[in-house]
Amino acid sequence: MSVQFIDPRGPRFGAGITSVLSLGTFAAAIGAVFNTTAAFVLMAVLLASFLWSVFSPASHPYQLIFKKLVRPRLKEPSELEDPRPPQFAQKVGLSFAILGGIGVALLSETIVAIAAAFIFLAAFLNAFFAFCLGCQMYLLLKRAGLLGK
Amino acid sequence: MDSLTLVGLLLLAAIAAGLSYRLLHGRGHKVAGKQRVDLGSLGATKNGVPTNVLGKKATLLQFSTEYCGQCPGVRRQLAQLEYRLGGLSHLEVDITERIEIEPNSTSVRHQRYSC
Repeated sequence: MSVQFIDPRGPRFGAGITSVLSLGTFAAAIGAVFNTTAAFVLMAVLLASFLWSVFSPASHPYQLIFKKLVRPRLKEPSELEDPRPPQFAQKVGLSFAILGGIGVALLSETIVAIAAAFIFLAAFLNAFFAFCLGCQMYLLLKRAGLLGK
Repeated sequence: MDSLTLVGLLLLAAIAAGLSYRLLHGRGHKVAGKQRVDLGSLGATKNGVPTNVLGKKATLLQFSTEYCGQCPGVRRQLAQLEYRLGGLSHLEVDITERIEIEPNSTSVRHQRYSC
């Protein structure tokens, strides 16, 4: 089985946008900025974004922006990466976004705030420190044999 | 607590986590005592071929997984080091399917990465 390796900065670029959105969601949910409606709308955007990147990563708007506008301005990547760990990380992100979606459905700012905080931490670490929590989970679970071949 | 303070705290926590990751990641540390490494039981390979021959001066043992992002870069650097300095041998252990080898277990922690 051959896998198309990807530029690791693509997922990191997306994570940068996600970290800004999720911090905004968190701030709105706890009443620091905007209002709770804004928090619910932002969480819905996050959920839609994670759904998109899990089901059709190549057509995701963040990746199109990266390909069209960002990558041409960067140097060649020193390393390409296997897309499977970051794709698994998106699924982990999606599960937190689903938790946030449940919060929106229940009109609970607390649940939205908690989900947004977790999404922010993971996305921030990936974008600014190149540390992808979900990818590490993938490696560990894979090694433990919990994800199958 | 003021809600804006809470946002600041979340941001600080994320930065602190990132900085400590950067600080601790890939750091060398001294180990007490010597331990003989059994390359055969570790399943060490050289260029994909199983081997149990140590380097003349030192052995660079790299633990990697199939999907790890930094592994190819580390592999190139260590291979270059091996090429430039004499007496080194760069070996690899693929731990993707080897859950019994833990990066933090004593058996691996006590291996000497001496140069």
